Parts: sequence; structure tokens; C-alpha cells
Amino acid sequence: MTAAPAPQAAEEPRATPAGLLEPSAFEAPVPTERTVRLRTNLPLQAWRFAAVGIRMTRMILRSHG
Amino acid sequence: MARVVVLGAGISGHTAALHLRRLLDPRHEVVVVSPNSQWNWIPSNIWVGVGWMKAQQVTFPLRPVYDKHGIDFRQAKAVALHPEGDATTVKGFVDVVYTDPARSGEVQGIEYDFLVNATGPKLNFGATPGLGPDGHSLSVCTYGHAEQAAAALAEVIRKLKAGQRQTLVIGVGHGTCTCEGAAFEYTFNVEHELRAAGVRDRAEVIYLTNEYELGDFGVGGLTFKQSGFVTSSKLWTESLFKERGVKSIVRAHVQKVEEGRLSYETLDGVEDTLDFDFAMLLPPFRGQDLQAFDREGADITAEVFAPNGFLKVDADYTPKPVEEWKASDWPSTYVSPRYPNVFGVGIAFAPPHPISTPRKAPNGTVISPAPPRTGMPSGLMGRAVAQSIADMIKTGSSVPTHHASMAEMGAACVASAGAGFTTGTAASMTMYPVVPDYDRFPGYGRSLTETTGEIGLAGHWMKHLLHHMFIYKAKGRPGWSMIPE
Repeated sequence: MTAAPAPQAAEEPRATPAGLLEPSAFEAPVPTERTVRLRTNLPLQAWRFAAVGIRMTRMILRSHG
Repeated sequence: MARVVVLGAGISGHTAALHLRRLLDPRHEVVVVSPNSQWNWIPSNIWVGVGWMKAQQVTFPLRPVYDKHGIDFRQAKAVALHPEGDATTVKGFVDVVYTDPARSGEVQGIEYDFLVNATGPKLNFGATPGLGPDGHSLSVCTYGHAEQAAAALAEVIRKLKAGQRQTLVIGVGHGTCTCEGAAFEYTFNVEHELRAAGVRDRAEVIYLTNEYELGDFGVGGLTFKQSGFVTSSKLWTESLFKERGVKSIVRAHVQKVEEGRLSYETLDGVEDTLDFDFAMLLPPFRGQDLQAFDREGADITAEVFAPNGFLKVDADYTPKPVEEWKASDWPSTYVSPRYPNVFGVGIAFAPPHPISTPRKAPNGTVISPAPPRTGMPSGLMGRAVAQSIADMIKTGSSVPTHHASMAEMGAACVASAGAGFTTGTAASMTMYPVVPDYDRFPGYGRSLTETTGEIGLAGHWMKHLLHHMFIYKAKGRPGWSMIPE
């Protein structure tokens, strides 16, 4: 008769590391599906590309004195 | 005839060298000393680190560019400054050791009339035991490191596809790190790749940082107008973490990294460990190992350089509490207070103090970001110093003529949050000025008009455009000087 295998110690659940912040705990607003979709909407982003470009150019020129 | 020696060929050094060559007539010499044969557009290393770009797309050889522009390139590492000369010469000179394979190990003293120290950071992996590619974590600080990170990420994705769960920790590997923006970018590029591979649900992504709160980025956070409200980069960043399901540990100092496990302490004094399958942790920076000697050969390193190894310039280094910090503490000409022909630009200059509020754990461990001074500010400093030196050579004056204080310049930062021409996104941020000035901008320290932020595909296109534009400029192609820093 063979001895029954020793029961394997159950893996202890890992405690949450200190200071770990779950993203769901943030009170920050989450974008709606529409907002997320618009972030990759080609016509809108083409317009935003121009707007961001103008904004950055203005700031860059100001920094170049 | 004058000789200007530029130490370093990164963003600030390379910019300074190209402008010096443009501004000075050919009888004056411009010499660049850099241990690296390649120029690297470091902001795009993030994309190399996720396999979206190859190293060849973010680098090019320096020598052909310098040959074309009449710049004398020495592939060597500077090891000692002699700003007063020595018994044999009254001219300042710098000792270099060649890394050029044809002259490897050869030592040479190079005399100069003007010296620009743009040696950038020493990647101080040694500050945290086990940190870095020679230890147990990855980096994206160099294109070589980024290639290793991409290979490791591909292996993680393979395991995830095989059904294994994986924990990815991305962030900074020491309490005094800077460049949190790069860690932020890499976090969201990795998260984007995991989603694109269809394995996001089996991966835990954790951002580990020394920032007091998300969105600090080493500049004390940003405040800007959005949809009729004044909002903060904290709220904005937390929103992105919430949307993408990325966990975070803030106010942390990594004590050591072992195989698959890192130990850390937090600002409130708690110590813990974190197991990982993949860890990309940026190192802290310090100045390169440059020594300085006076004419008699006495070591004056401590007088020329700050304790962190960065060159002292025209900043106000008087220790003072946060409440007394002023925009005027920050340097504007980048000239050494001791030697009027020696300048320090880019990461190589010693900042007077951080921008984010400094904080310590109960045991004294510093856990707060060092000030970033990369990218656009580095380029602007390089240009201003080149213009000053050119004027000083032409007029014989000993007073720098151009200024580029970080308290009077803005910065454009495009932080990629995922690559792809139709699916990518990036956070496009501008801030003005980089160092808050509460006298000029009461309340927030920065202009609410010029400090902005938005996320979208447009930002990805902008980052891609900047990638090509700055590589074109750095190659010194026609019209390069028309492209702003």
C-alpha cells in the first residue's frame, strides 16, 4: 500500500501590496464611450491636430523670445 | 581663432554644436566630444520599447553629420576638466579617453577657449541594488535598453496568450528619480499593446512612482482650463488610470530589486515587496564622473560641481524652504560662476532645487521627483549658450548675451498613450513656464492660457511629426535652423 500523497499547502492569497491604489477608487471622472470614440475619430482629430499644432507653435515662439 | 569644445552630443550638446558652427566663421573650431557614435532621439525610445519602432528609426551616426558641417568629432569620454590649464599651458583643457574603436583607450588633452558641458546624465542604476538591465529590471533610457524591454514584453505577451497571468510593474527605481513622464508613457504604451494583443484581462499593470500624487510629473503637477473648469493634471491622470484599469503605487522608493521581486518603502514609512514578471524601472540620474583640477593640480571638483555631479552654473544654490523658492533661483545663462568660459546645459547643469515639493520618509529617505530638464528646455539652453559664445567670440566680451531660464520658457510634451496611426492616442501637454512663477502668475504659478492638456489621436500624430522633424533637424538637413528647439 502506498502512502497517500501529502496534501499540498494551499497557496496563501497574496496580501495587497502597501499603498496599491485600485483605479476604481479614484473619484476622477471616466470618459463616456462617445468621448473615447471621439479620441480616435479621424475628422475630429484632424481638426484637433491643427489646433494642438497652433497652440504648441504659439508657446514655442513665446519661449524662443 | 577660437576653439569651442562641446562635451556630449545629446539634445542640448548637439543643438549647441550645430548652432555654434552656423554662427561662427570657419576659422573658429567647433569640437564635439561624445563617447557614443550614434545620435538618439530619446523620446521615441518608448516606441522601441514596445516593438513599434526599430532602434535604427530613432538613431543615426553622428560622424557624417559633423563631417558635412565642418565640426570636429572626437568619439571619446571626457574624464577631467582643467579650467585653469596646468604648468605647461594657461589655456583650459579637458582630458578625454577615446571610445572610438580605432583609438580605443587613448588619452588626450583638448584645449579650449570655451567649453560647453552637455554630458547628460549618468544612469545611476547602482543607487538601487539589483536595478537595471545588468540586474533584474529593464529600462528604456537607451535604444539598446529599449530593444531588450521590447523582447521581454513580447515574451510576456506570449505567456499571456498561453493562459498564464502576468504582473507588469512600470515606473521609477528610486525615490529621487526624474522623467516620470517617460514612465507614464511606457505604462500606457504597454497597456495599449496588451489590449491590442487581446490579453489585457490576464495582465495586471502597476505604475510605481515617487510622485506624491499621479500627474505630478516632477513639475509639481499642472493646472489648466478644460470645458469651462480649472482642473488639475492629478484629476486628468487619475481619469486615464481609471479608464484603462491601471493600478498605481505613489510616494514610493524602491530599495532593491531581485529576480521577480522588488522591495520598496513609502513616504509614510511602510515597507513591502511586490512580485513581478516584467519590471521597467527608470534609474535616478547623477552627473557624469568628471573631475576638475586647478592650475596646481589640486582637486576642485566639489567647487565646480554640485554633490550630485552636475555643473554649478548661474543659479541661486542657497538652501531655502519651499515657501521661499523663486523663479529667479533658476539659471538663465548657464555660465559657471567660477569660470566665465565654461557652461553647463541640459541635464548636465545643477538645478538650484526641485520643482515638486521635496519630501522625506520618517527614516529620512527622500521620496520626491528631481526636476526634469530634457527635450525642449534642453534644446533652448543649447541654442542660447551657442548664441552667447558666438557673441563673446565676436566681441571679446566676457558676459553671456542670451538667456534661457526654465522659469521663462515653456515646454511642449506629447506623452504617448499607445501607438498606431488610427488607434493610437497621446496626451498633448503644454506648460508655461516650466518652473512656476507665482509672482507673474499668482495662484497657479503658470499661465492658464498656455498650460493645456488633451488626449487623442491628434497627439499621437503630433508625436510622430515631432519624431521626424527633430531627426531631420538633428541631421542638419537644409533649413534645419528654421525648426525651433
